[in-house]
Amino acid sequence: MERSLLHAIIECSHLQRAYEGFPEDVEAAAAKAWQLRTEAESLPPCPVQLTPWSPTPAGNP
Amino acid sequence: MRSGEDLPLLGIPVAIKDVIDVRGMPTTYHSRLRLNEIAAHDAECVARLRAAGAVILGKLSTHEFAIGGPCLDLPFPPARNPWNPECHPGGSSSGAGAGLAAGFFPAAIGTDTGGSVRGPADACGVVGLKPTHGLISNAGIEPLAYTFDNVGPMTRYPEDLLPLLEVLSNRPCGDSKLTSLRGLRIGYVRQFHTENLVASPEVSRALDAAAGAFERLGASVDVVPLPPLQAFTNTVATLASIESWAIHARDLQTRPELYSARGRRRLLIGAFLTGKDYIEAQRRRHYLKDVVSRALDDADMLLVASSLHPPCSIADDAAIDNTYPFEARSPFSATGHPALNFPIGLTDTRLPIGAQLVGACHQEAALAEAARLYLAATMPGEGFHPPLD
Repeated sequence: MERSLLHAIIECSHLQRAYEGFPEDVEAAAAKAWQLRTEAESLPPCPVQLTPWSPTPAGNP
Repeated sequence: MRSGEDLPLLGIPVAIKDVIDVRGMPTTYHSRLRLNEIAAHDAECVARLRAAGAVILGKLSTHEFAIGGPCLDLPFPPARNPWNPECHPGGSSSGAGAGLAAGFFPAAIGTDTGGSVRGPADACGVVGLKPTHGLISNAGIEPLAYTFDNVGPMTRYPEDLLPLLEVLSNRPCGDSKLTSLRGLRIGYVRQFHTENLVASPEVSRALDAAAGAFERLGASVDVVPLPPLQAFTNTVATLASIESWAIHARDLQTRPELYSARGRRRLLIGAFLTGKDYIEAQRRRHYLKDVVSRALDDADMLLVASSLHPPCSIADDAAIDNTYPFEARSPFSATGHPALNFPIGLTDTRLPIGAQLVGACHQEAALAEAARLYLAATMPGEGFHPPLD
């Protein structure tokens, strides 16, 4: 992730304090999130008609 | 509680993961943020155990907030693996897996969000069940990820799971109707550990051997294709990261120094994901649930890998971090189907290897009975336990 973008997200997330104390941890988390999004974009698409929300999530009868 | 009372768990000792409230005891979540919090009430699952006559032994080691991983920068020493104390016992219900393998107690209660009951069961060579999502109340347990959290029983032997499950769920689990493995239709999900990721040769051989043993015992075993493992793991990681960030955001913003480094790194991920990421992952989750349900229309249960590598050194940070992506448990965290982890063998260095049996929703009894029949035939007697000096 570009550093300027990372800083913008940190500001929006009110993570300045965490970033001041533990910049490596914050950057590692940002890198992992970036990796998850990139990987998700590379996965085969699933049917779009499925609703994104259910009052009884997976498994309930 | 009196001798002779008609209670299903009369006098059975049960130990509790330290993220579950036990009245009068601290619930620390193995976090500096919860050091001095004494539970005023039992969690619902503990109350049910007590009412059934169980003896609550005490609290068990966990990873920080059931997510962090083994940490040496916290006031709680991580649990060790009784098979080799230099090795990771899995997590986050680490103390449950370790204590069961060591023979300290016959039953324990853990929690499983992305595999935290099944992981330590796998690494320690015991049995752990992630029940159908929603079957057991989570009341009295601070959530980690709202739509994934499950209370799960862990035991040394599969036949001990169902009495616990019936009490915890407050409903009969029913008769599995399995009297032998003959005719059982098993779908073997082999691609997760041979194509999507590559398991260590020992783990891969043990899984094929387990499939072969089921076949020799009369089951039919057919390889079943599912979407790639990464579709499941990515979905769970995305959703659970966002949900756990929603819970921990305030503390991570205002007092991040109280978390372990590993906990911070894992709990901060959700800060960098968006609503769009969440919605798309939820859509994918529904699709994956439907695919697995359809696979279970044609099979009575699925045989699936659990950890793709044997337990690693607890001192090896890189190897510990690598254990999270190299597993096949989170698919059923995504879909909500019940998954039972049971031992299938040992490595050359005598570390446990396990596998999962996965069933349609509310088929826990059949999974436990199939595991019992398998172990009775392949590991007769007392099963296998670590050598303890």
